[in-house]
Amino acid sequence: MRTRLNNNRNGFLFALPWIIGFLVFSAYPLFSSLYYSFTQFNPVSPAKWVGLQNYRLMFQDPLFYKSLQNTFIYALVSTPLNLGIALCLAALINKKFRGRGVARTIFFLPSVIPMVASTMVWIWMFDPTYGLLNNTLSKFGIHGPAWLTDPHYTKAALLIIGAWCTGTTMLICIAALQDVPNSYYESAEIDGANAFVRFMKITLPCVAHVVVYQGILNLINAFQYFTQVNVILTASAGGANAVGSGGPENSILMYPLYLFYNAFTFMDMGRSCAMAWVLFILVGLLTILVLKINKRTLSNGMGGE
Amino acid sequence: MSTRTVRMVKSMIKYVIIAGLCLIFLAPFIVMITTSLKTMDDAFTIPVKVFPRVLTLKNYPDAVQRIPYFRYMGNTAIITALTLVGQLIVTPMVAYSLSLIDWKGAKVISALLMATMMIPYTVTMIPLYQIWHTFGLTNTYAPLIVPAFFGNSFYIILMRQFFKSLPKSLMEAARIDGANEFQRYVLIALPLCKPALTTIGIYTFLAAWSDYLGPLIYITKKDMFTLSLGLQDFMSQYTIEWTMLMAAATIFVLPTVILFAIFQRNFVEGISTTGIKS
Amino acid sequence: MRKCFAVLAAILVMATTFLSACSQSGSDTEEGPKKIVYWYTSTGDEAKSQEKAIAGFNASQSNYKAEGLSVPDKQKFIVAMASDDSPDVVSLLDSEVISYQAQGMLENLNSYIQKNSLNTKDFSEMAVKSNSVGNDVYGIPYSVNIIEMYYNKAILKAHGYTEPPKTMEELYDMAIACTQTDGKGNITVLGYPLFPLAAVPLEGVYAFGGRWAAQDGKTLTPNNQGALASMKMNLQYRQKFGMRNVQAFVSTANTNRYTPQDAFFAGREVFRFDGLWLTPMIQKYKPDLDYAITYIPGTKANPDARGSSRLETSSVAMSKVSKNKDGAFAFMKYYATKGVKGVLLATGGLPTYEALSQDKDILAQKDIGTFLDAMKLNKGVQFPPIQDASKYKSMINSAYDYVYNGSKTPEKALSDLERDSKSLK
Repeated sequence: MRTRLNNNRNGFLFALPWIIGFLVFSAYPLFSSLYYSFTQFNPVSPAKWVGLQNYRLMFQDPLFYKSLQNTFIYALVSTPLNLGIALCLAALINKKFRGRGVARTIFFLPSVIPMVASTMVWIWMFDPTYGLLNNTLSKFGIHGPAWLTDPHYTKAALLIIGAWCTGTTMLICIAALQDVPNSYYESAEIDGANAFVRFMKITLPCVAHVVVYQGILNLINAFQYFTQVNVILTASAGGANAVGSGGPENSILMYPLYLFYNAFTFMDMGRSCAMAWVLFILVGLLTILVLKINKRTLSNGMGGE
Repeated sequence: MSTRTVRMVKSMIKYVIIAGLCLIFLAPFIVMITTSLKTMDDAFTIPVKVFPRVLTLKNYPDAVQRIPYFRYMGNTAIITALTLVGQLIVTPMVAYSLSLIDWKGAKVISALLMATMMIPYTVTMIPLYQIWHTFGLTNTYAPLIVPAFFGNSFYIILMRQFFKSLPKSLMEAARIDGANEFQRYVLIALPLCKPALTTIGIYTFLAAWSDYLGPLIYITKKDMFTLSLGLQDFMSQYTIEWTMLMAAATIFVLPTVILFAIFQRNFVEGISTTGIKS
Repeated sequence: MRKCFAVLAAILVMATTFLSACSQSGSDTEEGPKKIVYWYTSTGDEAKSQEKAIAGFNASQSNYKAEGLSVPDKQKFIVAMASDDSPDVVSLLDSEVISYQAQGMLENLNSYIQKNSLNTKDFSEMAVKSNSVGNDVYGIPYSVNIIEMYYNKAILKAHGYTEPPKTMEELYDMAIACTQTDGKGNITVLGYPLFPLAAVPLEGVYAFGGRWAAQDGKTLTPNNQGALASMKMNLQYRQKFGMRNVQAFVSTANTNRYTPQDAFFAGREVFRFDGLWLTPMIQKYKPDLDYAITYIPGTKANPDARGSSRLETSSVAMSKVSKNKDGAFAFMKYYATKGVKGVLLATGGLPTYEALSQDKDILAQKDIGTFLDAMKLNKGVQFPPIQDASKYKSMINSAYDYVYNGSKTPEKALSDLERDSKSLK
């Protein structure tokens, strides 16, 4: 009895920092941003209640839809792409061989270094005349595009950078792969299955659960994609781009970036909060959807082991 | 061909592919370093050569003089160090509460923990800014450091997993020996969780060192900038000083690479274990 | 548990002390001259001229001490001005003055102007007006930017042209003739003035008589004939030499802008709509360049458009949350009347303070004669002074992008722009 009371008290005390933090840094801001979304304010002007005006103007704003579209495209393409690449890389270096540690390190390194630095290197590499990418392509006779100024290719450039940073996902895939019992592969080989069949019928089903979960996390992350695009756009902001530019044809105006602009460039924080809540709801719905699909495929798919 | 030859050819092909991929993944690093060793003229020649025609180390001293590099580095270090202190103290505490203390709130809080991970940072970003602004603490390091002293959901979950994997008998034995909760925490749990602490420490370091959005919105006084903001000093209204920028970037990246090289194993294990649980 | 509490408390105390120490690292606690913080965007030599002006102010009085900071990133201006440590005085373009004022970030200067007996009539009337909302002045203009057409005489001569074009049609023909490509289609010399990018929707449109807003400055007119004609000619040129090739050239030119490898200095650009600051750069990086300057062309249908240019002023404005407004204004007054001469000489800006437009040193600058003449033509066009000016500019740039990339025809791009700009304030 006394122990239980003691335990409750102790448990509470030990968890206290997080509880306070949760209330102050998560719960309160969450609800006050809902409140702010119905006001017009910025740090130098007090909040003025405007009802649904922020939402109304937001839904009339062509850039709102454009930024949503950009983010969806990026998220829905990059997530499976990166997942696929991670899985392939993991499969490639799954079996022990000399230099395996080195290869794993090299593949993982990009996701460890500061994003700002690597983005700047990529900007340099994407330069159509002096950059490494186009110069390498021209050696194969391909005329490389203006990656960061041609709206048809800007997202491709972002995807390339994203794929380069797929190290963490790769590690998780490696761990998942190593969990697959060797006996499965052995009996399949005896049964005459080739590598491809083994991959499809054994490897994939066994790692599916982990991989999909990671995929969901990556998807949610992709909807918060900010640093790379902000750095790219700041780098080209000298010249004509007014502050708050979204790139050529606004092709890389991602939702979090546009939200940032509304808050810290146009000083329209009420609007930003409205945008934030729309994102919150969207991401929530998406997560639920993916989880439901996941559950269904899992129960339909392999018999669980 | 004999199966042995087939196998040898297969593994050679595999080696070639892997080597090629490694080169591709290393390319940006190579570009970064070689460009930092070129002169501006050299960097802007056509056709582009990867390696500098004339090797010059001048960009490095130029870069650290052109912007107050060491000042920025110091700032970044302070923020990182304090953040580390905060996380390393608070994370095990909370994780301990949720795993090794049997109390009513553990389930609820664990669920809340998972829930907070689903909240996009954009939702809380602005009210948080407003909170700090009300206290007059924008343009200080407080917004960047203080949250670390209240725990981070992801790290807590990681640590909780770790604690759960400890044998219950250890705690039982200590309790029987008369140790109170606090003693059990400090004398048994803490020393045991060193590997997990290391992993979290590394994550925290990397996140704090590379942080961009935080400094972007909270720090506007030039002498308080961090390195991730400082790199942008090389981009003026008119031009980007690429060679110096690459030198600055190389120095910026170096600590993370070194840290990674030393703690690689820890790192990899940390990520693998997070990924497996669901 | 007591120990736990104690440890926690100790850590929090340590942390708080540390933090307050950090946050005080920037604040001044000494008595003596009050500090005024002034932010500007100049870098390099221009920044030095700003610092000289600041030093001049400090030497001229002992109540205040001004400190300058070079912040090239305008985004940081905005965030700083909303933070607890805002600069007192900022250097802004007139469009930014209007925009920031609408966001509540700038102080109304009328009362300070009266208190300090600053006579706004001593400044160019156009310039003061573009920094005001109605009768309320929010910025003191210190420099005016006018754009003219720089052209490479040698290239024109090589193709048989002795005179620069007076109309855009003439320019187009010359551009076609003078453009050079290598065997693979890559452009080596660009004939049409597609760079700097800022000039394309401004001078590029004004040359055709187009305007982005009506006379009142508030009604937006994105779908205008001038813009349409300008886009069409631009598109025609790009299609002739390949959209991708042109885009690649422009992209690289942007990377090299105002460096020694700049396309115009290197003789790879024939026509260039740019400002007086280009001249000292040419003298520094390529003194033997055979160039000349003339007015922006008009069109056959609209010859009066010749000599049009954007009218853009650089001004000093005061932050609404400045802690030292009197000092801030004292600095602004000194700066705009006495301190700015060095800045004008370094930036190639034209004076707004009437007294300075007679100054010997100002007049002695190379090429300034052409620019002052252009100013006298009074054909400067101000970008619509609305709150969402930068959003409008961004939408206009987007419209151009759609045309360049073949996604929309110029007609559709402009009519879409008209539709989209309705959501602007």
